[in-house]
Amino acid sequence: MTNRYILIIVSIVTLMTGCKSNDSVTYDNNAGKATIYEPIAQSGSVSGIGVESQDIVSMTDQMMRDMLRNPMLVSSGISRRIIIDSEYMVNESTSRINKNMMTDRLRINLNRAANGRMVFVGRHFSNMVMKERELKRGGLVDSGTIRTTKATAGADYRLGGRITSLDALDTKTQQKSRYHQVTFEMVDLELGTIVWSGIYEFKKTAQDDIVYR
Amino acid sequence: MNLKRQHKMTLSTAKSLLLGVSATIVLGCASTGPTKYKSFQLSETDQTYVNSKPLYLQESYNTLFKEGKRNQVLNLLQIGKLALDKGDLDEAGDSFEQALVQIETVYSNSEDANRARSLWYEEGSKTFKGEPYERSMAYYYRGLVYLYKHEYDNARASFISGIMQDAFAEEEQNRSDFALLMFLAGWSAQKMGSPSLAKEAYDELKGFRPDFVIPSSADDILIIGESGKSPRKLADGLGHYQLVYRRGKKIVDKRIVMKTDSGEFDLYPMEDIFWQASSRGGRPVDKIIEGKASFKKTAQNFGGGLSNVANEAMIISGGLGSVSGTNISAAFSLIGVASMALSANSKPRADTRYWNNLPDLVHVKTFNSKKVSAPKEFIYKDATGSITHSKRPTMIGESTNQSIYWSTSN
Repeated sequence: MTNRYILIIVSIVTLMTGCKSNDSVTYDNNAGKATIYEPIAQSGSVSGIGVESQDIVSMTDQMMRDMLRNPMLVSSGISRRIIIDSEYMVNESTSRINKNMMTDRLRINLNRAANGRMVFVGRHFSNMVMKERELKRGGLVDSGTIRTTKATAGADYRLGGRITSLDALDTKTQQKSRYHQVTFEMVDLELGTIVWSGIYEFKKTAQDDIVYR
Repeated sequence: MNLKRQHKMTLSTAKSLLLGVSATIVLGCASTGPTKYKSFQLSETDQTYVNSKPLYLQESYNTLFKEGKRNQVLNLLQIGKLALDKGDLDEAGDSFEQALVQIETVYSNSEDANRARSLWYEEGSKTFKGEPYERSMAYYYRGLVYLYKHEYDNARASFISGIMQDAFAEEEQNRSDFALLMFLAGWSAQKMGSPSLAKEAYDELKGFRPDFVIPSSADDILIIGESGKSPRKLADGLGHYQLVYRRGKKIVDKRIVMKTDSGEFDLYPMEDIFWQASSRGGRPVDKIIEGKASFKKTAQNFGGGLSNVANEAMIISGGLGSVSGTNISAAFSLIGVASMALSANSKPRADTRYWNNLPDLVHVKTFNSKKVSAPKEFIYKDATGSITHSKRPTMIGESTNQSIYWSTSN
């Protein structure tokens, strides 16, 4: 008989423990995560179907290698003057993106790899240059140690391009897919001809948890 | 003999009492209302961050930290809207961007999403990402900030992304019908110098708003006025499992007129946000919540039925002085109580958190600055045309390519 009572009491205690109320709960009570460095060329722990770091890295690396192999851009004689900035990059895709991330990485890595075989015109710094030139010519500061020129550098080529995307949505499964196409074109600033072109494509597919669909 | 029967009667009474008490305790410990979430304590760093924010946003940032990750997106969206209404475009842009980064993150194998699917936690335990109409509105506001900053391509990307959030409505005719975003995608394309993309968006818009006059290529003034209050989410049905939408309470403003030195012009009512919220239809997660509600009901009925059987068996066995009958009734009772406890602790309640400073209606108009002088004031009117109040634009971005004027009444 005593055993039966014990069984009943144990059962009640178990039930009561099982029905622990969660009326007032704090879910996010973990101690957080220490900062970790993640490889920029790989998909991170937080990701979607837009343009991410690994896309920018592999896209600019591929374009850089391709440009360095082009004899029109890299010649053994006179170094060509090139403008690479986001002024003529157009985003027609459905991904919001800071285009400077692509053009800055491309210009800087090219500049380092070309080692003088290409000269980059910093048109995005033209205001800075003009101010200093005015100070020098106004006599407020001296002429520096390198040289003085009548005009700033004109460019031979300038980069243009377009980012486009094609979205596909499965209304049944709510799976989302986005194909990106990024084109880069180097334009001769006198003739208007395109001396080099590059294209980078990628496609991502994902499906959110059902509680968010 | 009498003593033995008396002993048995005492035993059965004790068991009944024990089971009754246990049932009361077990069921009593179950929750009835929505889950209440504890606030987090702000760390010194959090507090410094809050103090670094403009005074009008400090309370909202305080809430952001107190409510933690679960409501982070919701709080960021509300902060963004508050900042926009103060004309603080940088703050608004940052808040909407942070919110969108989380909205765009694909949640797979997320701990709190798994929890929200479980029987024992309500849907509201998940990290808030908003319903499609809220996500679309997040893209709308992010796009407005881009427009203001003349980043037309990113503005267009935002508006198109907003349209795509609306692509999963249950009824086919309600899919991707966010006319406001189509109009703004067309406007952005026009301003970024892509007439073919602009035409594409405007052609789509014509299908939904045939009476709207498509902006001329010479138009350079964009006016956007918002009126009314946010759609509300309510939980209906047994266990509050059914998510329903209601229009904001006591909405007076229905029309907006723009006052300029050249005269007054009616703004076109382009979008009904309540319609966007309520026309989505059923969500895939509703099936899960409905399943929870069904489990709750079944377990409750099963438990109640067993308890009744146990009570009757207890009375009969007590009357006959049968020990085994009493034990069987006790077992029935225990299973009944367990089943009722499971029912009482299952959480089918739908998530009713909503973005509370959205408008009810959005009105638009475009002009050519050579024909119409700069807008001065938004005049809000009720359904009968009587003026309720007026307000100066809170977002003013004037340039040669595009001037944007925006205001909200709520």
